[in-house]
Amino acid sequence: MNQPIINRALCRKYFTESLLLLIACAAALFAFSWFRVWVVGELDTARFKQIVDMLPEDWRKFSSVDFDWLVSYLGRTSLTLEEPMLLMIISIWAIVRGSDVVSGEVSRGTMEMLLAQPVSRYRVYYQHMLLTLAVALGFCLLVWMGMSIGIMTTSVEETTYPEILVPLTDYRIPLTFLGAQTEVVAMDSRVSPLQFFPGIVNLFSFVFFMSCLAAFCSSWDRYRWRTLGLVIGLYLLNAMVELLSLSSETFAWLGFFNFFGYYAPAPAIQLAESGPSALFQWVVVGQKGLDAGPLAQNLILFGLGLILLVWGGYKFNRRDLPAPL
Amino acid sequence: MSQVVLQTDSLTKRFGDFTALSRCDLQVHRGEVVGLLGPNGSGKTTLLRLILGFLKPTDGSAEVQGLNCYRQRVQIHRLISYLPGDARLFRTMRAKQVVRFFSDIRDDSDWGMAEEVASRLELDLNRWVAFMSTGMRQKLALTVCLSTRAPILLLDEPTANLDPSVRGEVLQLVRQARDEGRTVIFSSHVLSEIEETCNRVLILRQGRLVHDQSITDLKRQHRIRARLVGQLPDMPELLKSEVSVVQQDDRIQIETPAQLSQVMSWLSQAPLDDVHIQPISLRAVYDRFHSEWVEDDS
Repeated sequence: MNQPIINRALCRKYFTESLLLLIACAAALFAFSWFRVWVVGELDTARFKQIVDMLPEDWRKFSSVDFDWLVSYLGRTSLTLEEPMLLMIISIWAIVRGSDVVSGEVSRGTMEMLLAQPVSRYRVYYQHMLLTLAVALGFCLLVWMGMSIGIMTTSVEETTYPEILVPLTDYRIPLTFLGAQTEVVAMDSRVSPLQFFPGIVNLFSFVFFMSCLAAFCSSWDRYRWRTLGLVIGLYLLNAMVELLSLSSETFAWLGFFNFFGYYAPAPAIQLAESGPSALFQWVVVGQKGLDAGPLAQNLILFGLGLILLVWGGYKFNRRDLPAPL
Repeated sequence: MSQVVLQTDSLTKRFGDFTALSRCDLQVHRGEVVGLLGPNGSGKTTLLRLILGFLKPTDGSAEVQGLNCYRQRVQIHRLISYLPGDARLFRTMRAKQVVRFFSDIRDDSDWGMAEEVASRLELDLNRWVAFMSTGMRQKLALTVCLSTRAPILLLDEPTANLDPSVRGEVLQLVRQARDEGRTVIFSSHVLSEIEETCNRVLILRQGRLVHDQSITDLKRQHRIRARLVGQLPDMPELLKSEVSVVQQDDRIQIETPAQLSQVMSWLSQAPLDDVHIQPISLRAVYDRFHSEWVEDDS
């Protein structure tokens, strides 16, 4: 008998179970994205540049983008997508819901009654993941919305000096001796929400991969605490490897062997400034030489995630269902 | 003979070195109520889980109405309603939502039936699962399981954790299912329940099916104990295949599924003293496989 692709009863169940977490994550992501943009507006670019210029040269290597671009409104707002807080909130959703797919139900003992119904294991697995990924996509759009609203509602103060135009040229000479002038401008006159789209795509590819990794680990396990421990362990390990690859040129190659190495929304946003076609590059020449381009980064995260998702589904379909303990 | 709904052939399940079920050959016919007996770890639950396709057989196969239990498990689940031994349900839902969820997911569930079963089991459907006692959760699982029109019911210890009046109601529901022509397989540790409700009993021991008998045959069986004060006369040919005789010193124990009159006519010639005749209960049959030595069960 053919069954509809979406099983409403299962969907309702998974939605109800995750409702509190969903609301908490959604509120936190939306508020954080808006707040982070507002903070950018609070600091004058000229002053921010002074702070950045004071940073030791060594620190530049930890930045995913060039410092000169970083001081622009677009650069500073782009870094919202690289904030550990934002990554943590969205990863909590991915890990908690991904790990629940198999080992969560098994360790709660509810899988037994569920799988005794005329519903295939594939359906149980993919239905759960479909909802998890749909909500993750919603979260990414919510981050975008939070940033967009932040951009549209924030005004920025800019310090300028009177200038004179050199006759017959385009050069303008600031007359600093006349004193600074402060001008308030709307942030949306400096950056457009559409410019963040490449970063949002990269964020979704990252959360897609994290959800699939958690689901894959869950499909092999019978204890959820162990799945959570394993995925969080992998998350921290990758974060450390990424830090190591950034801190030393000797270990720069490790950037290719951890999933944080493929999460770079700010460089993608920077690249997109030169035109949308730049986003379809497989490789780019960055500050540290040859690097994966936005297309490669997203495809690697989506591709690996998809492999783990399918492999996890296959494993769950074949494994013995352990009796509840 | 009526249609075979369940058949297992050399069904075996091993977990590493441990054999949970060994070469189980079994046939269950439509409308039968089969009781599964055996101590913990004897393989009852493993057998049920293999029938449901939760486990992949190490060897052999199981079929329900001609469908392979492992490869065609989704189709099989349309024919079976299952109550797990340790039924756990969704803690974030109320009982009513749980019943609704399962009736939405199955085509053969009936909300009206669920309400009737819940009322017979004295279950409050408005209560949150998280705040239910073990017995109440068992009642809820029974409501879910018994409110379908599935032709086969697999019940793993359905009366565990229930009070005596609800136990009786559950057994009544099982008998009702039997009267409707449905097939029921249920495991229990309570021998009297099996004896009262089933028309066939299977006994498992250390993963092996060691005994398969109809309750009618069981009820025909008698045990005669006596003191032998001389020589036992030769047993008539007619009885030889059916009567078992165990002699220990001057005590003799005779068990027979045959007509008691035929045995009595043979024993009337024997020099016996202190004769006790009693029907063999399920307890005695069970102890034959699970006790060191058969003792008085009277």
